Amino acid sequence: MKVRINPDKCIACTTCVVNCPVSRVTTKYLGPRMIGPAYQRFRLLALAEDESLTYCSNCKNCEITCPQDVPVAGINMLARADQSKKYGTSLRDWVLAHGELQAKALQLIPASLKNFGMLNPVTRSILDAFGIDKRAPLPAFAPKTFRQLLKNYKQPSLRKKIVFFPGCFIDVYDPLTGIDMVWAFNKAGYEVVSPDDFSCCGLPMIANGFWEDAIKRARNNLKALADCREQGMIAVTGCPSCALMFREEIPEYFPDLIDELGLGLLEDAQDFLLQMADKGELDIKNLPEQPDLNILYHAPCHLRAQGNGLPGLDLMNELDGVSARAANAGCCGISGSYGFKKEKYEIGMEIGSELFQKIKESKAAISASECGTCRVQMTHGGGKPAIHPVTVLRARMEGKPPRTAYNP
Amino acid sequence: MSRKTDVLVIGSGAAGLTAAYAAAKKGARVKLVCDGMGCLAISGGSIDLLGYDREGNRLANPYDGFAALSPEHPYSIAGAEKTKEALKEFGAALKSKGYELKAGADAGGAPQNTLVPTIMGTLKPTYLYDAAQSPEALVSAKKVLVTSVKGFRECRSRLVIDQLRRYPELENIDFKEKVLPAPFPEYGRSLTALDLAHFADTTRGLEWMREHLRGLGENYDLVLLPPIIGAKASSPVRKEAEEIMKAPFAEMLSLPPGVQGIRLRSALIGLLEDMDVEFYENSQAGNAKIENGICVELESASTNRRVIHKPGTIVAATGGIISGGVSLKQGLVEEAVFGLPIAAPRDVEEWSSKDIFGEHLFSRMGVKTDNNFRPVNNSGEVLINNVFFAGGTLGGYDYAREKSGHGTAIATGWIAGCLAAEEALNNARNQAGAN
Repeated sequence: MKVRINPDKCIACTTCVVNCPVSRVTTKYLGPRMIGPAYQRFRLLALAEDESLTYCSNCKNCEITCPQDVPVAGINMLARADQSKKYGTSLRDWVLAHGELQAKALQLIPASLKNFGMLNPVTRSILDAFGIDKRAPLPAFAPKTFRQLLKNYKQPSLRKKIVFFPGCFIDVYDPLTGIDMVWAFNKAGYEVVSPDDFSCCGLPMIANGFWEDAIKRARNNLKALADCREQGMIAVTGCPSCALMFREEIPEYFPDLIDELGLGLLEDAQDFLLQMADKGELDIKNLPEQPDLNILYHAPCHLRAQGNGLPGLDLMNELDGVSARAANAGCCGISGSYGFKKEKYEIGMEIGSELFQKIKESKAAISASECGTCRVQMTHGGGKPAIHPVTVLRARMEGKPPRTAYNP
Repeated sequence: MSRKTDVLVIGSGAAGLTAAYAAAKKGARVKLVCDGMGCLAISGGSIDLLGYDREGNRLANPYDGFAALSPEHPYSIAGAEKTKEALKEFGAALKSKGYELKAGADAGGAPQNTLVPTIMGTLKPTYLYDAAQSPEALVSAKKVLVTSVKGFRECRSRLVIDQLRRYPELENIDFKEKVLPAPFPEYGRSLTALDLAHFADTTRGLEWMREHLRGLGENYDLVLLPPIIGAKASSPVRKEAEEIMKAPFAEMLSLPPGVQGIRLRSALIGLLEDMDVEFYENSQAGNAKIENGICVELESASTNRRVIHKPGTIVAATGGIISGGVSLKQGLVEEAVFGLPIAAPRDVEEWSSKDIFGEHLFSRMGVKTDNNFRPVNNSGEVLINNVFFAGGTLGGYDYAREKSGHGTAIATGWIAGCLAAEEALNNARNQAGAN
């Protein structure tokens, strides 16, 4: 690994400690300052790793709040990659990091069977023994992936094309949200393409220590994005974690790939639609008569980390009759696959407890967030459906109540 | 995309958050850009107004020191009356979020600094503090219990007592110590005050407090504790702590993370949440476009992204040198966002003095403003008409030495926020009228 992060930028101010959702709920984690920049000095001296490194959830709140721009979670992920290289990885972590491959392998099996196979109590007990907590809200496979659905979806033939990077969650578990996205872009005058070449963004692999696998995905995706750029197409995503991976993680961890294939960026789809609305190319002003809609919005940590404000929230509030309020309750506790793990499930639930309470107490019957696994956790802990902001957009434009089930 | 707003606040420390709230309360639409989150959350949370004069004499009444301050001092610009008003409004706002502050007062009701002990056993004069606590009882107390918690290594009750005894005004106090048992086993790390405070907010923590603090203060005039009584703006345990202990109590101010600052910040964030203030986190403001003395555009930049904002007015509360609001180059000092020059000797040696705790020029380096906190050049001409400065970016004061931390930030933040909102709303009205 060529990437070296200088830990000495840290001035030990403890701002990250104050804002770390994990160290707030457990003393099993040394904390971001200690395990990140402080411990890095020991790593540079080749001292043994501290076992609490695995407790970092890579939620990035340390980096969001650090006044000195120290990539604290980045230091942790590099250290984790190093550990995996030296001592190997667990099968459980492989499974959680490679949802994309499992979905591909299981492609020919009908979703009902797959879900019966994966989600029945017997399998859940086996998975539990294997390290995936049986209480964790594992999402169900959709009957067809997003890209399978897209092939049969009749889009109007439009001159302008846009590239949509679905991300694994939408592709495998929540394809109808992807279709909502396609519908909205069509209304804005864009035909949507979503190349089969796209693979998982690789962030789950980074978080679980599968460095080589992440590089492979990054290379593959950057190539596909370079092709899109050559054709003059902009690429967007509805998933903040995928966007973060392309904008910040790949350039930080794999600068050689950027030198070779160029910077491949995914724009925030919600931001893009908001701009279209601003320019009048997406008409969100003449909506059908319909009852008012209250929404509690949760800002994903990986969105907050990108310094782009909360365009999904702004977009919903541009819609007449919609009142969306930010929950401001910090991390939901799921952090991709973190909250599914047996030894982390309760930590994740405790982290999310403030958000769950706000969801329960809110007068809004529906909550919203861009991040797929945040939504799963919000529904699990808050007991109310959680949907994507673009699903809200489509519902209001069509004058229907928003779809609240993943695969009705 | 360019994003319009009435007021754009830069910075999320005490000054920025206060300014954002003040502006939103005036009816302005407010957005806030921040890189990091300021030092409010890691601070001790008490609001110092003015503890010492320039000669280092402790001030009984903080406002008595205002007249002797230099004309560039933020308090001289704000004036005592506006400062009082700002603190009053600020206190009322926090109270609505369940966090009540009280101001020290003498027997006649005049403002008075209170000496608050720290976990290092020193005393600090402060002005506003948590109303649930009674640090003012220390100087008149006869018997004081100093407590700590086993495993919380930063607070040593014996050290605190030895240190406090060195103060002449405390020498007749009968100090006793008590170390409370650790509430949960230590895993990989030593306990911090923050761990204990978070624990106190849980059901188990509340039970632990009720069990171990019960009657602790019987026969004592005051109980001193590390800052562990809850981390929320309105933790239930803090309201009943005095009753459980059967004596007034005060938390000693701690090293970062100071816990009391987290309570203060979460109350402020709650206020901003009610006002729908939108945050652009993890992004750095810069690349201002100035036309005819007005900042018409400002960028916030993060990794591989630039967002262009079109605010009516701006409050710059970016902090001092460590926070990055004031940038130092070899022989050159600049305000960081707009690149405003800050007067400083070419010879860097002159920026600091040999006495580390002495008066340093660099501490006072900052933006020079007019009476409305707008930046001016050396001849007093306003450089950017719609930008208002607040907090640590302002020059002319040394908060650490004079003990005015948070006080200067809140007073100037409040005033700048109000001015920015008024001007933005006025301009918007005028523009609407002209159309």
